[in-house]
Amino acid sequence: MARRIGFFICECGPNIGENVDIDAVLNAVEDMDDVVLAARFGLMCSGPGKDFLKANIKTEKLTHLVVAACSPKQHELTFMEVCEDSGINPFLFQLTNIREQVAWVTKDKEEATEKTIRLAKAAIRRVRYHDPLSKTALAVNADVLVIGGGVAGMAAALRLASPERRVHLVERSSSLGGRVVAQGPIYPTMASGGEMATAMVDLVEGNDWIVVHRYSEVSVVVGFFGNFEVVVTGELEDGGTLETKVNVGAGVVATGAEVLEGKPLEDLGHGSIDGVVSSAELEAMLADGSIGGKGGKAPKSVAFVQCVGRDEVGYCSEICCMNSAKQARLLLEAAKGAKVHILYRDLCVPGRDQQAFLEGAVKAGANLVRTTSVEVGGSKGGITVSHSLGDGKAEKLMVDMVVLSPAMVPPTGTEGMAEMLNVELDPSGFLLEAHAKLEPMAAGIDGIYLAGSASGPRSVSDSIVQAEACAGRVLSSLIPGRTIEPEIRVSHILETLCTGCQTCLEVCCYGAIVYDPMKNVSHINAAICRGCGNCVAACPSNAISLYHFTYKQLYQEIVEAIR
Amino acid sequence: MKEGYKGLGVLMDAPDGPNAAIREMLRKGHERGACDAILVPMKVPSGDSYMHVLVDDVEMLDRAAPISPVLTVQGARAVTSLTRRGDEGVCIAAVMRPCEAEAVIELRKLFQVDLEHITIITMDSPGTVPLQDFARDPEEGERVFAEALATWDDSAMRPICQTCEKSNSAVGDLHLGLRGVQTGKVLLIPQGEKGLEAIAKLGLTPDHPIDEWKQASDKAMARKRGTRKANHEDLRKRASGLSGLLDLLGACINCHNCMRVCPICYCKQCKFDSPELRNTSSDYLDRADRSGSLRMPSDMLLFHMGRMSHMVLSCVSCGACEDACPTGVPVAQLFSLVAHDAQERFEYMPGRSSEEKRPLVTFEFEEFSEVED
Repeated sequence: MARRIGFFICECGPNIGENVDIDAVLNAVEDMDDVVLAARFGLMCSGPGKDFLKANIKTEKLTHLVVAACSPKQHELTFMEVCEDSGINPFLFQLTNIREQVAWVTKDKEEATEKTIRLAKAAIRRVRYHDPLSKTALAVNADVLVIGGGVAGMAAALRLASPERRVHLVERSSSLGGRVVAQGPIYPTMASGGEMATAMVDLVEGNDWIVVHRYSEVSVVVGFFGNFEVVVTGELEDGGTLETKVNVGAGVVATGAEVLEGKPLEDLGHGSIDGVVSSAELEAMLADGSIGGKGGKAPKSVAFVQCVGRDEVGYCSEICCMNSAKQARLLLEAAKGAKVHILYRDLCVPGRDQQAFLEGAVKAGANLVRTTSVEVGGSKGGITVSHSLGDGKAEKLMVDMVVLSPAMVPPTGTEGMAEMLNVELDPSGFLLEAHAKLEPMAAGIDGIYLAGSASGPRSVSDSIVQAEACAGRVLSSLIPGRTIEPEIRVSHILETLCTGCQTCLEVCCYGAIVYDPMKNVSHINAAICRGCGNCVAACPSNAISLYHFTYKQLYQEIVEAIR
Repeated sequence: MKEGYKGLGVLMDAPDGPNAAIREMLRKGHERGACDAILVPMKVPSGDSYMHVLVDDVEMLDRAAPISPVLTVQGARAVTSLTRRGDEGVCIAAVMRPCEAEAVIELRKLFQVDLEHITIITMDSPGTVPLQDFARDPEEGERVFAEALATWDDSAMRPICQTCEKSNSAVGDLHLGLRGVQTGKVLLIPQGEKGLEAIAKLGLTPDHPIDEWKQASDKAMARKRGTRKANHEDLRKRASGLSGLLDLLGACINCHNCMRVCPICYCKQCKFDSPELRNTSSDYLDRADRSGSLRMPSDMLLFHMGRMSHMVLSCVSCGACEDACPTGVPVAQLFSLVAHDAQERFEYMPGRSSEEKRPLVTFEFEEFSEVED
């Protein structure tokens, strides 16, 4: 069938109408091959404008449409819909931008008209080589990947899992529960953290819609919101690994935080002086009864040293002051009459309940001391803690126990996780949220959310708030049964030309390309490809082309534009 | 230099010249199981050319000319054809010049060769005789080359060899130092694990300092750099602007031989041979309209510039293209000029190391900021 191209130029009110000689443009293009109509209209995107297009498509039996108007970002879809409504394949259409790229920027009317003519001719020449493409609908995958089986991950999984939404919960270690499962009473309620976490573990394990992958890590994530392809790599008992492919629509990263180790603690006697313990070690001692329990020790004097490693990491870990206040209260209960000092630099007691809780610790006997620097030394009678009080004065305490409160740091593997998910890292090494205030639980890319300490140290309650927020985002946007239209202007590889050099794999930002060693060629996963064209440009063998941006189409367009 | 290199080599006797010494070493290596077969340049039966030959029977090594007077098929092409379908555990010792080995390493990055079981042996190269000169008078070619090998005077060698500062690069797993080494001896220099392994299999111990060889090489290479600079300056002037370029390439007959012999041009089908570049006569007329005429077949310049943009970062300046040009276009010198400038901008040296990523697949956040807005 012969091509019958219709060319339409939009005046965009005065925007284009006053800056371009539209009749001159119409004159210039009307004799071009296959152009059967060249017409103008005041505001093409308006109702009457669209009707004008439709009527002309019908009466002139147009097969291809070229509109010279605004940015494709603004109205490409509008006119593609007009095509669809009129029975023209929407890809037999080309929009050329003569507003942002001509009328608004080229002051000289003659020059602007000349430029418009070139762009119009280029678009007309290009559209002659367009191929019809058919849209495909892809059902969204409502399932969700949750990485990390601590309280944040479990809370998100529990909120999300339902008969129509399976949750894959991936946990690196042998068991769920994260750091909280090892906690005794937690502030401010002094209810048992361990019991709370264990109760959640029971709920997760009893939930038919949550698939727990233990001893496992996520090794590959490719795709986009609604359609992620994930590989979960599990460690087997015999030392081998098992790769499980999982498809999900969204992901929640709840990888938590770790406690700082090493030099900052060692400098304060940890590992070399008896009686110097970390707050986590004290928690374990309180839990197993080695302090305060029957036959347990009862220290007579204890110094908590706060902010250990804070200078090194460069941030306040938020939860340690309250944790020490809690541990001080427990110690004072377990070892009646003990002297408890909390040496702090700055107190971090935000929120409604925290201050009252801290005052409770003081009332119970804890001695809050503000200090600027602390040194810990071993001596015969116990441990010496020398610290300065800021105004040049120094103080020396003799204690038989020192509890170090180290900073919280990103867990090992965070960098790899960030790279795999394409999520940015904050300078301290935690995962970076999309917006600190407006979207603290969203990662920078669609469909990936951050819960709990993955994006910075957080208390249990804040972690759960975030987990619920992540779940809310998923529940409100990833609706089972909905479809998404994957990009169809994607790349494909011609096997006969592909040399298997794998350059395309290196430049693909979406992980959409795989190499087939048997055939010695690469393949593009069309459901993952976003049509950026990187591979097309990088392929030295001309084996890759991008639908709707073929070599021929671009060549023809350029020929006319630079004539 | 690669890991394993300790600045020591093995000083080997070569009473009958370096070719005989390499043959002897290959024979010994084969005997001791260091390799199952040998890929080495050999004189063709008619006696007027040399080709890379896969030798299974060591008796045939007598005819091998490891340091051949001409570069015919680029060694990297030979290795590609040998290993393109993957590695099957056959250990092969491949003898070639440094520029050929550099191309092999580039092709390794492009997954076009499999080096798992290939041991590459390179040597100081005196250059090679222009292929067409040799074809016209092989006897004279042999004589001229023997003299160049004896005196290191490269004035009768190909222009690209005269400006090659990497002709003494120890690229191979084993490299034979010839320059600055006492008469009647060659210096075998191991590189990396493979080199050390091969030398151990040969029953040799690297115990001879390579300093003298290195100093002589560095001095010679500095001289070549000077020649190259002058050559490039001249060429840059001649090739500047569209008209300069068209003049330089004017004699091109579109045979695409330069592409066919190029080791780095590894595509199954060259884009410039594909039907995609064929246009309708009205398209050509359109183009002719602009300047009044159009050379047919068209796209001569596009072919050279397209090929250049595709392979120039990996171009090792081996000169195979220029040898293959039937009309004497200085195509290797032109490509070498652009390659040198382009590679310098990316601080990239093709063939330096197989671990070094190609610039095309390397992302630097801060790069070429001077061309940003």
